[in-house]
Amino acid sequence: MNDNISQDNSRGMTDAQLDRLLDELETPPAPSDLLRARLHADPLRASPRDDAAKGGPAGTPDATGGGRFSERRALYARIAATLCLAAVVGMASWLPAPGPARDGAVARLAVPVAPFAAPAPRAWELAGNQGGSETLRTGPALSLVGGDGAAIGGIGLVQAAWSGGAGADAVDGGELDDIPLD
Amino acid sequence: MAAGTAAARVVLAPPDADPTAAGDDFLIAAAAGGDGAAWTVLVDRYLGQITGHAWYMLGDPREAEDVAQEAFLRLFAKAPAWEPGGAQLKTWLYRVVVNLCIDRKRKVLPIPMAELPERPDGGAEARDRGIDIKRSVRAALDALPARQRSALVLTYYEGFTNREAGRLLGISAEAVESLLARGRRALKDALQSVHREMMGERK
Repeated sequence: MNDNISQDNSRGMTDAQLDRLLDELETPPAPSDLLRARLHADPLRASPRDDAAKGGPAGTPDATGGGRFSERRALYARIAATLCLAAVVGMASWLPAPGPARDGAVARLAVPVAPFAAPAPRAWELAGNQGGSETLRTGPALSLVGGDGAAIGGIGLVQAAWSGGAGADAVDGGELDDIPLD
Repeated sequence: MAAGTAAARVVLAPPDADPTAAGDDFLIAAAAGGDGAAWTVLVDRYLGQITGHAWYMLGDPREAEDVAQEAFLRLFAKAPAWEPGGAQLKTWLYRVVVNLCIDRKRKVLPIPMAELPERPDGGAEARDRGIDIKRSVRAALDALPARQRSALVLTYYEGFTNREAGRLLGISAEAVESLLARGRRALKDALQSVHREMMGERK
Protein backbone atom coordinates (compact mmCIF):
# COMPACT_ATOMS: atom_id res chain seq x y z
CA MET A 1 0.00 0.00 0.00
CA ASN A 2 2.73 2.42 1.01
CA ASP A 3 4.70 1.44 -2.03
CA ASN A 4 1.73 2.22 -4.20
CA ILE A 5 1.35 5.67 -2.65
CA SER A 6 5.03 6.29 -3.11
CA GLN A 7 4.85 5.31 -6.72
CA ASP A 8 1.86 7.55 -7.30
CA ASN A 9 3.57 10.49 -5.71
CA SER A 10 6.81 9.96 -7.55
CA ARG A 11 5.02 10.73 -10.78
CA GLY A 12 4.84 14.33 -9.60
CA MET A 13 1.89 16.54 -9.01
CA THR A 14 -0.55 17.87 -11.51
CA ASP A 15 -0.89 21.51 -12.38
CA ALA A 16 -4.09 21.68 -10.36
CA GLN A 17 -2.32 20.24 -7.32
CA LEU A 18 0.47 22.78 -7.69
CA ASP A 19 -2.09 25.55 -8.00
CA ARG A 20 -3.67 24.37 -4.77
CA LEU A 21 -0.34 24.63 -3.01
CA LEU A 22 0.36 28.05 -4.50
CA ASP A 23 -3.01 29.20 -3.25
CA GLU A 24 -1.84 28.43 0.27
CA LEU A 25 0.41 31.45 0.16
CA GLU A 26 -1.20 34.28 2.03
CA THR A 27 -2.28 37.42 0.26
CA PRO A 28 0.15 40.32 0.39
CA PRO A 29 -0.21 42.70 3.30
CA ALA A 30 -1.56 46.15 2.56
CA PRO A 31 1.03 48.89 2.58
CA SER A 32 1.38 50.43 5.99
CA ASP A 33 -0.40 53.64 6.82
CA LEU A 34 2.95 55.10 7.72
CA LEU A 35 4.34 54.52 4.26
CA ARG A 36 1.20 55.85 2.65
CA ALA A 37 1.24 58.95 4.79
CA ARG A 38 4.91 59.40 4.12
CA LEU A 39 4.50 59.16 0.37
CA HIS A 40 1.55 61.50 0.49
CA ALA A 41 3.62 64.05 2.31
CA ASP A 42 6.95 63.61 0.61
CA PRO A 43 8.31 60.55 -1.17
CA LEU A 44 11.81 61.58 -0.33
CA ARG A 45 11.34 61.13 3.36
CA ALA A 46 12.30 58.10 5.40
CA SER A 47 10.53 54.79 5.43
CA PRO A 48 8.66 53.78 8.60
CA ARG A 49 11.45 51.37 9.39
CA ASP A 50 13.89 54.24 9.59
CA ASP A 51 11.55 56.20 11.79
CA ALA A 52 11.35 53.27 14.14
CA ALA A 53 15.12 52.99 14.10
CA LYS A 54 15.35 56.63 15.00
CA GLY A 55 12.93 56.08 17.82
CA GLY A 56 10.60 58.77 16.61
CA PRO A 57 7.14 58.88 15.17
CA ALA A 58 6.44 58.77 11.47
CA GLY A 59 7.88 61.68 9.64
CA THR A 60 10.37 62.56 12.32
CA PRO A 61 12.95 64.56 10.48
CA ASP A 62 16.53 63.67 11.01
CA ALA A 63 19.33 66.13 11.46
CA THR A 64 19.21 67.08 7.79
CA GLY A 65 15.52 67.84 7.95
CA GLY A 66 14.76 64.98 5.61
CA GLY A 67 14.44 61.28 6.00
CA ARG A 68 16.06 58.15 4.73
CA PHE A 69 17.30 59.52 1.45
CA SER A 70 18.53 62.82 2.74
CA GLU A 71 19.93 60.97 5.73
CA ARG A 72 21.89 58.75 3.38
CA ARG A 73 23.10 61.69 1.37
CA ALA A 74 24.03 63.54 4.51
CA LEU A 75 26.04 60.51 5.54
CA TYR A 76 27.81 60.50 2.19
CA ALA A 77 28.44 64.21 2.57
CA ARG A 78 29.92 63.67 6.01
CA ILE A 79 32.12 60.86 4.71
CA ALA A 80 33.22 62.95 1.74
CA ALA A 81 33.88 65.96 3.94
CA THR A 82 35.85 63.82 6.37
CA LEU A 83 37.90 62.32 3.56
CA CYS A 84 38.55 65.76 2.09
CA LEU A 85 39.54 67.08 5.48
CA ALA A 86 41.80 64.09 6.05
CA ALA A 87 43.34 64.63 2.63
CA VAL A 88 43.92 68.29 3.36
CA VAL A 89 45.35 67.55 6.78
CA GLY A 90 47.48 64.77 5.33
CA MET A 91 48.79 66.99 2.60
CA ALA A 92 49.40 69.78 5.07
CA SER A 93 51.61 67.51 7.10
CA TRP A 94 53.66 66.48 4.08
CA LEU A 95 53.78 69.66 2.08
CA PRO A 96 55.48 72.87 3.12
CA ALA A 97 52.30 74.85 2.59
CA PRO A 98 48.63 73.93 2.23
CA GLY A 99 47.82 73.16 -1.35
CA PRO A 100 44.71 72.38 -3.31
CA ALA A 101 42.81 69.18 -2.74
CA ARG A 102 43.53 66.46 -5.25
CA ASP A 103 41.61 66.64 -8.48
CA GLY A 104 38.47 64.62 -8.54
CA ALA A 105 37.69 65.05 -4.85
CA VAL A 106 33.98 65.53 -4.53
CA ALA A 107 31.92 66.89 -1.71
CA ARG A 108 28.21 66.45 -1.95
CA LEU A 109 25.62 68.33 0.00
CA ALA A 110 21.97 67.70 0.49
CA VAL A 111 19.71 70.61 1.24
CA PRO A 112 16.16 69.65 2.09
CA VAL A 113 13.45 71.64 0.42
CA ALA A 114 9.86 71.23 1.50
CA PRO A 115 7.78 69.43 -1.09
CA PHE A 116 5.81 71.63 -3.37
CA ALA A 117 7.30 74.63 -1.63
CA ALA A 118 6.42 78.02 -2.94
CA PRO A 119 8.17 80.09 -3.90
CA ALA A 120 10.71 77.75 -5.36
CA PRO A 121 14.34 78.51 -4.68
CA ARG A 122 15.50 80.78 -7.43
CA ALA A 123 19.20 80.80 -7.03
CA TRP A 124 21.92 79.63 -4.76
CA GLU A 125 25.63 79.71 -4.67
CA LEU A 126 28.40 77.86 -3.04
CA ALA A 127 30.10 79.77 -0.31
CA GLY A 128 33.79 79.45 0.13
CA ASN A 129 34.35 77.99 -3.29
CA GLN A 130 37.81 79.01 -4.29
CA GLY A 131 39.28 77.95 -7.54
CA GLY A 132 37.33 74.74 -7.91
CA SER A 133 35.18 73.97 -10.90
CA GLU A 134 31.73 74.55 -9.59
CA THR A 135 28.77 72.52 -10.66
CA LEU A 136 25.24 72.68 -9.45
CA ARG A 137 23.10 69.63 -9.90
CA THR A 138 19.48 69.01 -9.38
CA GLY A 139 18.26 66.51 -6.89
CA PRO A 140 16.11 63.65 -8.10
CA ALA A 141 12.98 65.73 -8.08
CA LEU A 142 14.04 69.22 -8.91
CA SER A 143 13.88 70.81 -12.31
CA LEU A 144 16.31 73.43 -13.44
CA VAL A 145 16.36 75.45 -16.59
CA GLY A 146 19.39 76.94 -18.19
CA GLY A 147 22.84 76.84 -16.76
CA ASP A 148 22.36 79.52 -14.17
CA GLY A 149 20.67 77.31 -11.61
CA ALA A 150 17.35 79.12 -11.69
CA ALA A 151 14.77 76.68 -10.47
CA ILE A 152 11.36 76.21 -11.97
CA GLY A 153 10.31 73.67 -9.37
CA GLY A 154 11.12 73.42 -5.72
CA ILE A 155 10.40 69.82 -4.97
CA GLY A 156 12.72 67.54 -3.12
CA LEU A 157 16.41 67.84 -2.62
CA VAL A 158 18.83 70.31 -3.97
CA GLN A 159 22.26 68.86 -4.33
CA ALA A 160 25.31 70.95 -4.77
CA ALA A 161 28.57 69.36 -5.67
CA TRP A 162 31.94 70.58 -6.66
CA SER A 163 35.08 68.80 -7.56
CA GLY A 164 38.76 69.34 -7.63
CA GLY A 165 40.95 72.29 -7.00
CA ALA A 166 39.46 73.38 -3.71
CA GLY A 167 41.17 73.46 -0.39
CA ALA A 168 40.11 73.76 3.21
CA ASP A 169 37.64 76.47 2.35
CA ALA A 170 35.72 74.06 0.20
CA VAL A 171 35.37 71.71 3.11
CA ASP A 172 34.03 74.58 5.13
CA GLY A 173 31.76 75.30 2.21
CA GLY A 174 30.30 71.90 2.75
CA GLU A 175 28.30 73.12 5.67
CA LEU A 176 24.66 73.35 4.80
CA ASP A 177 24.40 76.86 6.18
CA ASP A 178 26.84 78.05 3.60
CA ILE A 179 24.48 77.40 0.76
CA PRO A 180 21.89 80.14 0.80
CA LEU A 181 18.53 79.40 -0.74
CA ASP A 182 16.42 82.38 -1.53
CA MET B 1 2.74 72.25 -27.75
CA ALA B 2 5.24 74.73 -29.03
CA ALA B 3 8.34 73.02 -30.19
CA GLY B 4 11.38 73.72 -28.09
CA THR B 5 9.44 75.14 -25.16
CA ALA B 6 10.49 72.94 -22.31
CA ALA B 7 8.05 74.38 -19.83
CA ALA B 8 5.00 73.99 -22.08
CA ARG B 9 2.71 71.23 -20.89
CA VAL B 10 -0.24 69.47 -22.41
CA VAL B 11 -3.34 69.98 -20.32
CA LEU B 12 -5.40 66.80 -20.29
CA ALA B 13 -8.17 67.85 -17.95
CA PRO B 14 -9.59 71.09 -16.66
CA PRO B 15 -7.85 72.33 -13.56
CA ASP B 16 -10.94 72.06 -11.40
CA ALA B 17 -11.63 68.43 -12.32
CA ASP B 18 -11.96 65.83 -9.56
CA PRO B 19 -8.39 64.55 -9.26
CA THR B 20 -9.50 61.02 -8.36
CA ALA B 21 -11.22 60.77 -11.73
CA ALA B 22 -8.35 62.25 -13.69
CA GLY B 23 -6.12 60.23 -15.94
CA ASP B 24 -2.61 59.26 -14.92
CA ASP B 25 -0.96 61.55 -17.44
CA PHE B 26 -2.85 64.55 -16.16
CA LEU B 27 -2.07 63.70 -12.55
CA ILE B 28 1.62 63.27 -13.29
CA ALA B 29 1.74 66.63 -15.04
CA ALA B 30 -0.11 68.23 -12.16
CA ALA B 31 2.18 66.64 -9.57
CA ALA B 32 5.21 67.79 -11.52
CA GLY B 33 3.76 71.27 -11.38
CA GLY B 34 3.51 71.12 -7.61
CA ASP B 35 -0.02 69.77 -7.11
CA GLY B 36 0.20 67.70 -3.94
CA ALA B 37 -3.39 66.43 -4.27
CA ALA B 38 -2.62 64.96 -7.69
CA TRP B 39 0.41 63.23 -6.28
CA THR B 40 -1.67 61.80 -3.43
CA VAL B 41 -4.17 60.35 -5.90
CA LEU B 42 -1.36 58.67 -7.83
CA VAL B 43 0.05 57.16 -4.66
CA ASP B 44 -3.34 55.87 -3.58
CA ARG B 45 -4.04 54.47 -7.02
CA TYR B 46 -0.94 52.30 -7.32
CA LEU B 47 0.76 51.89 -3.96
CA GLY B 48 -1.19 48.77 -2.99
CA GLN B 49 -0.60 47.01 -6.28
CA ILE B 50 3.10 47.58 -6.53
CA THR B 51 3.73 46.89 -2.85
CA GLY B 52 1.86 43.62 -3.27
CA HIS B 53 3.97 42.64 -6.23
CA ALA B 54 7.16 43.47 -4.38
CA TRP B 55 5.96 41.37 -1.45
CA TYR B 56 5.35 38.36 -3.67
CA MET B 57 8.80 38.82 -5.13
CA LEU B 58 10.74 39.51 -1.94
CA GLY B 59 8.69 37.88 0.79
CA ASP B 60 9.39 40.65 3.27
CA PRO B 61 6.83 43.41 3.84
CA ARG B 62 9.50 45.92 4.83
CA GLU B 63 11.61 45.20 1.78
CA ALA B 64 8.49 45.44 -0.32
CA GLU B 65 7.69 48.86 1.10
CA ASP B 66 11.24 50.01 0.45
CA VAL B 67 10.90 48.96 -3.17
CA ALA B 68 7.50 50.63 -3.51
CA GLN B 69 8.90 53.81 -2.04
CA GLU B 70 11.84 53.69 -4.41
CA ALA B 71 9.48 53.23 -7.36
CA PHE B 72 7.45 56.28 -6.37
CA LEU B 73 10.64 58.23 -5.81
CA ARG B 74 11.63 57.44 -9.39
CA LEU B 75 8.22 58.47 -10.60
CA PHE B 76 8.61 61.69 -8.66
CA ALA B 77 11.90 62.32 -10.41
CA LYS B 78 10.52 61.31 -13.78
CA ALA B 79 7.32 63.35 -13.52
CA PRO B 80 8.65 66.60 -15.01
CA ALA B 81 9.81 64.75 -18.11
CA TRP B 82 6.84 62.38 -18.36
CA GLU B 83 5.42 62.31 -21.86
CA PRO B 84 1.64 62.11 -22.00
CA GLY B 85 0.39 59.35 -24.25
CA GLY B 86 3.60 57.41 -23.91
CA ALA B 87 4.08 54.50 -21.56
CA GLN B 88 1.17 53.60 -19.30
CA LEU B 89 1.94 54.55 -15.74
CA LYS B 90 0.91 51.16 -14.36
CA THR B 91 3.19 49.39 -16.81
CA TRP B 92 6.01 51.77 -16.03
CA LEU B 93 5.65 51.37 -12.28
CA TYR B 94 5.47 47.59 -12.48
CA ARG B 95 8.50 47.52 -14.68
CA VAL B 96 10.45 49.59 -12.19
CA VAL B 97 9.33 47.35 -9.34
CA VAL B 98 10.11 44.16 -11.24
CA ASN B 99 13.61 45.39 -11.96
CA LEU B 100 14.19 46.65 -8.44
CA CYS B 101 13.09 43.30 -7.03
CA ILE B 102 15.27 41.37 -9.45
CA ASP B 103 18.21 43.58 -8.54
CA ARG B 104 17.62 43.03 -4.85
CA LYS B 105 17.28 39.30 -5.30
CA ARG B 106 20.50 39.16 -7.28
CA LYS B 107 22.31 40.52 -4.27
CA VAL B 108 21.08 37.63 -2.16
CA LEU B 109 22.38 34.16 -2.91
CA PRO B 110 19.52 31.89 -3.93
CA ILE B 111 18.79 28.87 -1.83
CA PRO B 112 19.51 25.70 -3.81
CA MET B 113 16.35 23.69 -4.28
CA ALA B 114 18.03 20.65 -2.79
CA GLU B 115 18.59 22.51 0.46
CA LEU B 116 15.00 23.48 0.98
CA PRO B 117 13.73 22.13 4.27
CA GLU B 118 11.34 19.23 4.07
CA ARG B 119 9.29 20.88 6.74
CA PRO B 120 10.61 24.30 7.73
CA ASP B 121 9.74 24.05 11.39
CA GLY B 122 8.91 20.39 11.66
CA GLY B 123 5.91 21.16 13.82
CA ALA B 124 3.54 18.25 14.20
CA GLU B 125 0.56 20.20 15.45
CA ALA B 126 -2.24 20.51 12.96
CA ARG B 127 -2.54 24.23 13.52
CA ASP B 128 1.11 24.65 12.55
CA ARG B 129 0.69 22.65 9.39
CA GLY B 130 -0.89 25.45 7.43
CA ILE B 131 1.92 27.77 8.42
CA ASP B 132 4.49 25.19 7.38
CA ILE B 133 2.86 24.80 4.00
CA LYS B 134 2.86 28.56 3.55
CA ARG B 135 6.52 28.68 4.46
CA SER B 136 7.36 25.86 2.12
CA VAL B 137 5.58 27.56 -0.74
CA ARG B 138 7.28 30.82 0.14
CA ALA B 139 10.68 29.13 0.27
CA ALA B 140 10.09 27.36 -3.02
CA LEU B 141 9.09 30.63 -4.66
CA ASP B 142 12.12 32.37 -3.22
CA ALA B 143 14.39 29.65 -4.59
CA LEU B 144 13.20 30.24 -8.15
CA PRO B 145 15.39 32.35 -10.40
CA ALA B 146 14.13 35.92 -10.25
CA ARG B 147 12.65 36.05 -13.73
CA GLN B 148 10.82 32.75 -13.32
CA ARG B 149 9.43 33.99 -10.05
CA SER B 150 8.48 37.30 -11.55
CA ALA B 151 6.67 35.65 -14.46
CA LEU B 152 4.82 33.34 -12.11
CA VAL B 153 3.82 36.09 -9.70
CA LEU B 154 2.61 38.35 -12.48
CA THR B 155 0.52 35.72 -14.22
CA TYR B 156 -0.63 33.48 -11.37
CA TYR B 157 -1.09 35.82 -8.45
CA GLU B 158 -1.74 39.11 -10.20
CA GLY B 159 -3.71 37.96 -13.19
CA PHE B 160 -1.62 39.45 -15.97
CA THR B 161 -1.73 37.70 -19.32
CA ASN B 162 1.48 36.27 -20.71
CA ARG B 163 1.62 39.13 -23.18
CA GLU B 164 1.19 41.74 -20.44
CA ALA B 165 3.74 40.03 -18.24
CA GLY B 166 6.11 39.92 -21.19
CA ARG B 167 5.73 43.64 -21.68
CA LEU B 168 6.58 44.23 -18.03
CA LEU B 169 9.58 41.94 -18.16
CA GLY B 170 10.74 43.15 -21.54
CA ILE B 171 10.39 39.75 -23.18
CA SER B 172 7.98 38.03 -25.54
CA ALA B 173 4.87 36.16 -24.47
CA GLU B 174 6.54 32.95 -25.64
CA ALA B 175 9.51 33.64 -23.39
CA VAL B 176 7.09 34.15 -20.50
CA GLU B 177 5.51 30.81 -21.30
CA SER B 178 8.91 29.20 -21.18
CA LEU B 179 9.75 30.85 -17.85
CA LEU B 180 6.43 29.69 -16.45
CA ALA B 181 6.95 26.11 -17.58
CA ARG B 182 10.39 25.93 -16.01
CA GLY B 183 9.25 27.70 -12.88
CA ARG B 184 6.29 25.43 -12.35
CA ARG B 185 8.42 22.34 -12.93
CA ALA B 186 10.91 23.55 -10.34
CA LEU B 187 8.11 24.30 -7.89
CA LYS B 188 6.64 20.85 -8.34
CA ASP B 189 10.01 19.30 -7.56
CA ALA B 190 10.56 21.54 -4.56
CA LEU B 191 7.10 21.05 -3.12
CA GLN B 192 6.93 17.30 -3.68
CA SER B 193 7.38 16.48 -0.02
CA VAL B 194 4.74 18.98 1.04
CA HIS B 195 2.38 17.54 -1.50
CA ARG B 196 3.08 13.99 -0.30
CA GLU B 197 2.38 15.07 3.22
CA MET B 198 -0.91 16.64 2.27
CA MET B 199 -1.89 13.52 0.40
CA GLY B 200 -0.90 11.39 3.37
CA GLU B 201 -3.06 13.42 5.71
CA ARG B 202 -6.07 12.89 3.56
CA LYS B 203 -5.69 9.10 3.56
